[in-house]
Amino acid sequence: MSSFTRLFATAAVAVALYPISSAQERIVSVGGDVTEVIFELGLGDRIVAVDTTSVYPLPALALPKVGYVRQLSAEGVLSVEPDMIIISGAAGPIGAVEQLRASGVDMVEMETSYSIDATLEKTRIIAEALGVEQKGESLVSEVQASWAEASEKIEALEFEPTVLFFTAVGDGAPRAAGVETAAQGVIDMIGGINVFGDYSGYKPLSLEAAVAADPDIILVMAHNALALGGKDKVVNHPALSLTTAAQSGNVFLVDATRVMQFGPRTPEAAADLAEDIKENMVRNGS
Amino acid sequence: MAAQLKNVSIIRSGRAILEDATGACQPARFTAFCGPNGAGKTTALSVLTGALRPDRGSAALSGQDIRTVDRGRLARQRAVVAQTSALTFPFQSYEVVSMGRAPHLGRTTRQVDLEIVNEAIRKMDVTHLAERNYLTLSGGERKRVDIARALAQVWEAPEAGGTRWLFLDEPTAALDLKYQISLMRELQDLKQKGWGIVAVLHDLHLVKKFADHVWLFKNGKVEAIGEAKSVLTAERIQSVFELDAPYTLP
Amino acid sequence: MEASPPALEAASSANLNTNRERIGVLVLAGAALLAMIGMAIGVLVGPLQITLSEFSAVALSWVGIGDAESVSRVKTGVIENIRAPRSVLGALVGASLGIAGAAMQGFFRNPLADPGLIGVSTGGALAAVAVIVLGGTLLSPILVFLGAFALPIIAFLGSLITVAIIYRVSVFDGRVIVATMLLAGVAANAVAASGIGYFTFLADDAQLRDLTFWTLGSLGGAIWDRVLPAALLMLISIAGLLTLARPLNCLLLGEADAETLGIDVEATKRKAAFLTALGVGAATAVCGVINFVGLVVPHVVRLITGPDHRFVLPGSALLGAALVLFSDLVARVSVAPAELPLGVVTAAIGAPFFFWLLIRDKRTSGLG
Repeated sequence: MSSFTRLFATAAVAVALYPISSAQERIVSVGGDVTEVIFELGLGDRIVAVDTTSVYPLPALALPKVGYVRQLSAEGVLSVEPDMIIISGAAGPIGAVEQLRASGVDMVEMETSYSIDATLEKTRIIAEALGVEQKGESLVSEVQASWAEASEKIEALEFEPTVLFFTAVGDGAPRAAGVETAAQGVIDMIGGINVFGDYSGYKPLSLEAAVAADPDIILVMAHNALALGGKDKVVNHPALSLTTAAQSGNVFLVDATRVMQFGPRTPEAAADLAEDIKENMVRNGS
Repeated sequence: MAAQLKNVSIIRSGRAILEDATGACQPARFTAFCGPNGAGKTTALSVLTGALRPDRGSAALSGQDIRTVDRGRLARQRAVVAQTSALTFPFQSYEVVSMGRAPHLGRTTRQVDLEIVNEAIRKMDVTHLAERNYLTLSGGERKRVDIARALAQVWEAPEAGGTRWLFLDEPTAALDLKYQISLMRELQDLKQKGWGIVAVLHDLHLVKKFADHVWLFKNGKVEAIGEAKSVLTAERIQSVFELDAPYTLP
Repeated sequence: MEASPPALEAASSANLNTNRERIGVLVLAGAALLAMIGMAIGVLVGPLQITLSEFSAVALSWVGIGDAESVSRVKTGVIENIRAPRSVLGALVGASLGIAGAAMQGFFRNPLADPGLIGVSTGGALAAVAVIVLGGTLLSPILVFLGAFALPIIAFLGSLITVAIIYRVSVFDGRVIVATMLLAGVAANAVAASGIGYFTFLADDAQLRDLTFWTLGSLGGAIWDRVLPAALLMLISIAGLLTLARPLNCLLLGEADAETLGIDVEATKRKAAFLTALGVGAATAVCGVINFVGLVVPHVVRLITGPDHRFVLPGSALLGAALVLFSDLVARVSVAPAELPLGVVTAAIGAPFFFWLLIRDKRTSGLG
């Protein structure tokens, strides 16, 4: 394409997009991944409010909060006078979401899915909604490249650990993640195998089941472990203590917002996690 | 047009606490139910008021089988003063008396109700207690308020020439002598106006002095019915109340 | 001839109101005023700034005067589809809970009673929690069928069924034994609590959050489609309970005395239980569990008017509405643009207030 044509094309696109792009000066972003993408697209300064799961990058923390992603206040969202609302698939309650749809403010709703492909899809949708398709494409390419690099690193590690992804809320029931969860997405990324891959969602975990499954490693969300009292408490948790993984100390913490939101940082975070595991894993003769 | 029991039996756990009771209480008469504890007098009264359904036999009020009378009509013919009050909420006394007008909803005016409540309170000498919290009154004061409520309930005759009935269960139990006597006088006064008065009374002296007829109960049976003087003989009192020697009432 | 008691003296033939009745009327007027102010605030005040003239323009357009074109679509939408249904819901929920609380206190002859004693809230909660946790799996065909109304409908059914069971269990010889019903309610609450515990155990993180929010109660997400059916049920409940004023008064004398006064005691109990289940069930189904309104509001009214249900029932309805509306204001505005769950606010106001009431009024509150 000649430079003139390119210039013309750009101008034409700019003109065509002008009515749209001037209309998203006040964005409400619901969902940590959504917020990250918007910031990566360089439009973070247009966000006027976020939900409580949006904790990265730092400026997002300082923004007014419209509540937890699943418990939004419709009027609260509208009170910051947005001209666009971008929400992740986890948003609720239904009533509030319906009220927002009916309000007349432009709304973009994501679907929930846990993979790098999902990240790319989100990026494209958000970029289109904000009229920055070009930047969107370049961010997509960046993420793809980042993932390519990460996959290479992970493959180079040459391991396929069996994984138990553990969670326990305070004194609540200990649970393990099955498929169709963000946890499964993480396990897939690092090339592991979920020992509980035959059911979906989170299921209660008993020590017997854990021992029978005998995973190579145990993954726990970092904030979860902190709430339980630290990695030691996880290692000694009644539901895990007799597993080989726990006894060898093969328990690894996962930064949920970096790895599990499936935003732009995820590929790099996945690689880091895989490397951390490979390095620190104690091999138990297999 | 009496208050009648016909072969009434009440059976609990296989035991007859009232057995084959038969008798009539007439209007314009003060009838007393007497006997030792557990003899069946309160039970008999409960059947007469319609509170208890007989397991055998029947009860009638003013000629009608009680089971066939609609509860509102029954409430406009007879009032009951129970032995104890179950009220635990802080109503003022006049509010308690006013509840006596409940069966007349829709058949009376506020003016009439207020006047009747007023009169009933006056009659039982509880005017000075009218705005007091019922729960803070003494046992005797509460009883007088309860009686005022019963009076307010059947103040008017149910229909032309109909009898007003007042049933009382141990009304004198918590009262000072002064109020015992004035209550007895009041009941006599009502009787003279045509009311049918039936009261469970344990004080035989009061019964002999103020009541016209007596039903004497023992072990669930009606031992004797008749005029107070002829029923309450020294021998009978000894036998029914299981005294050591005959006892003559003054 | 003695003079009339002062209470009745004041009731001259011209005006026929006793002192207490005068106070009662004043209280009703005051509570009605508070409720109306509450509704006005519910529509006028919120996180989104809307001026009085903008609101007037919208309000006038409802009665056909002018169109509200000068007001932005978002603001009109907020007034008409967010604040208005929410105010209506708040008023009715508060009224239902208040009047049902008063009726239950009469029914159980105990000023510490509240609708929860007959299992309304926990039955609804158990059903709601089951929907939240099993919704994706076991119950999904039912949910697909019921659509967006699944949760409220099932919660409502849960409430009704629980009350029906408790009621049936307490019937002996054709009569409802109130003391048995109290114990049956306690047992049912325990069973429901363990059921809720079990579902909590099964829930994953997201479900757990949903569950917690539901048990904290909220008026959020109130859209007309959901509000109107619930409103109908609550109005029926409130209207029905108002007719029980005199029978409930007599019931406080004891069932035997009430019977001899000609009151159909069993019918009164049946109606009180059923109407409570209807109103509180509908309220809980749409808003989750909201505590303290049914307990505290009738107490406050009774403190001023005395126990006469002719004033306590409507007074509790009006004051309950006012309490919920003002609490919702705090919930909506205090952490804007986020929201507090309503149940948290009513508990924060209700609990300390209740303690204060207990301490202040030990002798005359009818507890002893």
